Amino acid sequence: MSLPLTLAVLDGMAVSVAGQTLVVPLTAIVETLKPKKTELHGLGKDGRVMSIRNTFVPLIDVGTQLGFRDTPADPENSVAILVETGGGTRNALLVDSIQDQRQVVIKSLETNYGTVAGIAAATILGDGRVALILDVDALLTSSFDTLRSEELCYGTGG
Amino acid sequence: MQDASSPAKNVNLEFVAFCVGDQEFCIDIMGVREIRGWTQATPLPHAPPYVRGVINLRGAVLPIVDLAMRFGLGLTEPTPRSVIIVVQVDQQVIGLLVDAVSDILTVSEVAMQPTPDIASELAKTFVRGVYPVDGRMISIVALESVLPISEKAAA
Repeated sequence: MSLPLTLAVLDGMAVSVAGQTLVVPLTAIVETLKPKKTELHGLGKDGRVMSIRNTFVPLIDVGTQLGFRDTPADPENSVAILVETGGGTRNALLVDSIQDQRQVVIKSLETNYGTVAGIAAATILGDGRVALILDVDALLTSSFDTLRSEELCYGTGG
Repeated sequence: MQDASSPAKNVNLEFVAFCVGDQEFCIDIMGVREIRGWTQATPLPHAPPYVRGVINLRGAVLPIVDLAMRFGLGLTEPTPRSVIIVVQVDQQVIGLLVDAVSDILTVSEVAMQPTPDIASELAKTFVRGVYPVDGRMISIVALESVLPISEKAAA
């Protein structure tokens, strides 16, 4: 048995998405909101934006983005987490509910498995289960990638 | 085959035998770290279907590979009686989800027969050879090809 020399601890917000617990790093979060019907607007085929004090930010469904479910969640029964990436762009992540705010110990996924797109690392919750820590930047990049590839398909098909 | 009681010149190898579906497989006992019961796994996004997710193994994050799914035998429906065999391959530790552990085999190296030449590509990839044991056929799993790592590098 060996003890780790250092522990990496992260301040995060535990959220529920499609029955799974995910941790969103607190450093990325600007605010959390409850979307109202009047604030939601469709843009394009599947794109959705949310107006926050008259600025429109893209709404990203974490559940479909990570492949936890096929149909997007109903935004009115979800919680939007406004996140800001390093570049200063803002996006709203749609999750089912917020559990609480907690400090988590970062456990590497790379050691035994490998890198997962949109996931920074894992952690172990109080009940012994593993929760995944979101990589907000990578999640947003991958969401744009899927949008772009859909556009390309649409372009060649039409 | 030589008489089992005669002092074998050949090196005896020990294997852990287990069942996946109605087939029997075995892996070298030296690669097995522990055997434990099934616990609910946390699914990983964008993972291949045979990766059932990750579990907490005393503070380490352990990926679980569904061997039946990996071998193309269909998804295992985990029951409380299902077993996770924790194995070490190179520097990686992974868990293999199997139906049951059946036996510990002590066999000599010469008893190993090459994999019968059948059409299944999966069999050729994952089976290193077979052992005849009491009329049963036990396939030796090539652990390094079970890992998801090779596909990850390609992706």
